[in-house]
Amino acid sequence: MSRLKTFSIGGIHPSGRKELTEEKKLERMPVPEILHIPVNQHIGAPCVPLVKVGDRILKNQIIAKTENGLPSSVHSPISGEVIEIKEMIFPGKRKIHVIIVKNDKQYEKYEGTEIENELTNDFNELLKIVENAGIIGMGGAGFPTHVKLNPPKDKPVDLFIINAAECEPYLNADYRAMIEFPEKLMNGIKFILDTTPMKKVIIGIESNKPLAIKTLKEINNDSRIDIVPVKTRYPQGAEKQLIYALSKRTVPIRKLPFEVGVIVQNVGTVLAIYDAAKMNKPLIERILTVSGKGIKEPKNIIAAIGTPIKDIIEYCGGLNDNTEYAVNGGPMMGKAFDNFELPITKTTSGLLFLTDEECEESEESACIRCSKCLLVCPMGLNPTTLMDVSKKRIYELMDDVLDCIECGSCTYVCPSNRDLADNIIKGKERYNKYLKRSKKNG
Amino acid sequence: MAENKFIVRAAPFLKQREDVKTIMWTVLIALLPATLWALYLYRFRALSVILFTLLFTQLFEIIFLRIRGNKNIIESAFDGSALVTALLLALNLPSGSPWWMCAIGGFVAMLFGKHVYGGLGNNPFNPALVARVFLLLSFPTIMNTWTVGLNPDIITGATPLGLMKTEGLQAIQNLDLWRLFIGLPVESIGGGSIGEISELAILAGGLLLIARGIIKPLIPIIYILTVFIFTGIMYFVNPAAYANPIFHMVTGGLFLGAFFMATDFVTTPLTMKGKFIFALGCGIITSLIRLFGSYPEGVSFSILIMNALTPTIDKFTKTKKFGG
Ligand code: SF4
Ligand code: SF4
Repeated sequence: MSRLKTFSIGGIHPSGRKELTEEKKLERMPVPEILHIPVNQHIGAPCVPLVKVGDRILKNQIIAKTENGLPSSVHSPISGEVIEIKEMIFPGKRKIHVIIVKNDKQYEKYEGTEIENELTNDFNELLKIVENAGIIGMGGAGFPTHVKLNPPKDKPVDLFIINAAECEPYLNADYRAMIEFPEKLMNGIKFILDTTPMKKVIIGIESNKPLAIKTLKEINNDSRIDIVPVKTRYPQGAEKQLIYALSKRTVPIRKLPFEVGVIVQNVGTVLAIYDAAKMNKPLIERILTVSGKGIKEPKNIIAAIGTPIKDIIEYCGGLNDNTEYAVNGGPMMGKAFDNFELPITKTTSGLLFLTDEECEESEESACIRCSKCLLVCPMGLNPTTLMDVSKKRIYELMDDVLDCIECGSCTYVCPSNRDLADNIIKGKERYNKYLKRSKKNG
Repeated sequence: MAENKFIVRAAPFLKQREDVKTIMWTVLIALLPATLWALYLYRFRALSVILFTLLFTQLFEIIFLRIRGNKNIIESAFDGSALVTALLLALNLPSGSPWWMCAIGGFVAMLFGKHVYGGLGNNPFNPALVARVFLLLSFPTIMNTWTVGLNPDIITGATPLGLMKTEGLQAIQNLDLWRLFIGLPVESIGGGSIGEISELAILAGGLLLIARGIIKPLIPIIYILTVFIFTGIMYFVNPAAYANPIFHMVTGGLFLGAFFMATDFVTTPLTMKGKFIFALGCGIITSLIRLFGSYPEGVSFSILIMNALTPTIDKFTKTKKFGG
């Protein structure tokens, strides 16, 4: 076998722990009585609620929207009554307004939605559809997809990469989607190729998902589409790393992929685009993995956006007593939370409930300068030094924090158990504020 | 559902299981071949040097941790780092080192090598080498008395490098370099520090460190190669005045220093570029001392000098950013 493609520097090999839900078929979770739909799910200014308490709303209706900066919108997955709009505190101390909707179980659709359409072949119309459907990158960052699909005119894009690496341990959402909806995924990809200026597609899948690779290869009859296995190595699914692995193009530091003629979308996003174009269905649900030894019945589910996590826990049989962590996302980059009233959002790729045996707490000690963090950093940074200058707020030496992709590889390897990634990420926030301040002061 | 029992902290939630302790114990295991060889050559004399050095060093580690108010004494004291320092120091001592000298060595290593700077991770100099050089300057006679290995009687003799320095090139011309590499005793030749005699044993341990991913081969290779090239050039230019470069490989503390001391994490640069410069510097200084200095051997000094330069090297060697 030829050597698998992969990124150039750094990287780690955490145990995959995919087996808990690898074989679990997607289940559509019934929508609960009450949904908590956050108005801000993408990066950018929060959407403004378009409904008020007491309103009756319909399924697929836009209930919040913003035109500022990065436009996006939020739709209701159900018909029912708005019973409250309140602030909830999300991981990272982010306060976000949540529209609380009582499900009337009618699922009465907003006019014109969820009916089969003629697929468009007009690029601008595609962008409009994607924007109106509230589609954002479902891999994690939540960047509005219509913005990403439409790079500046002077940056021609020829290569479309589908990020199906799913390199985070435990997660199988993309994997299940690929083996359960392969036709839909391929149709979605073809549709995007037909309507946008891009000419070629590479689907990058980590080599630990042979069934997904085989399934897609078997049905692929389009010479524009390549299905390429990539090495199982974290963070293979990080955008710049995957681009390098698949095309040997290096995205310059602090630049976006379109600079090298590439757009990357993940599997879930493509499916959402296809749903929007074909069925006029906005982004109101998503596929996610519920896993970890803390949850009694690990599952892969399709759940409505806004479903409170407590309902998902109940649907998955409840928690074991030795559960210590609840994590939104994967174990490398996810966020821990302890409020189970919080809902899943468009970017929740998984919910993990981890026990003490799966992740130990360990005491932090002084850096022994082993260089391991430098060696594993996929961005070629110097994490130990960056952590120190971040903590001490030595802004003159902090510039590199902006290049951190927050992958957590440094913390993963550190024998002294230093919280490198966390400190660098905090340093990044601080440094950005510092830059803003100095700009203001001239 | 009791919600407040869940731990909220930053990602990642998975960790590699290799901690400081595992690393230190791997280093100790890697030092085992050299240690066993020392015991084989010098029997009870080596045993006494090793045991006393381990004992006193570990004792002073605990004492200084206490004085510094460490809250987690048991954890910190037995992370294995003091034992690594102690074993390295012991292997760098002559077989005739008395117990009190081992004690002083342990004291100096822990106090002036480590704890005055705030403990493991903050020390600029390799603690074992600080202690060794201190002993060398304080007790030059003991520290320069070498005995022939595998001999129940104490028969002293100069080391090959010492012989070359005092008697000139002809004195060492007929030495069997292969024997020196393996570390077999040579009649009337003092072996050297107990742990540096068999390059083969050191190499075996060094390869273990590399295989286990504890060290990268960069530093040992560049260090040894630099000495090889430097002494090789001199030999090439004037073989009548300078020894064969292979002779320089298989004698003295070069291998022990290159694999186990120039690779000490704490006191060497962080970046690969920095490590390269560090190793190059060590090689050049070692060669200069051996060829032109008044001491026969320069490994300890060169590593300490480069230790001193490490912060500067770190400052000027940047990592190469992806896409930068
Ligand atoms: S979290 Fe940042 S600094 Fe740490 S390895 Fe990843 S990119 Fe490098
Ligand atoms: S991995 Fe940890 S101990 Fe090693 S250099 Fe980085 S911060 Fe220091």
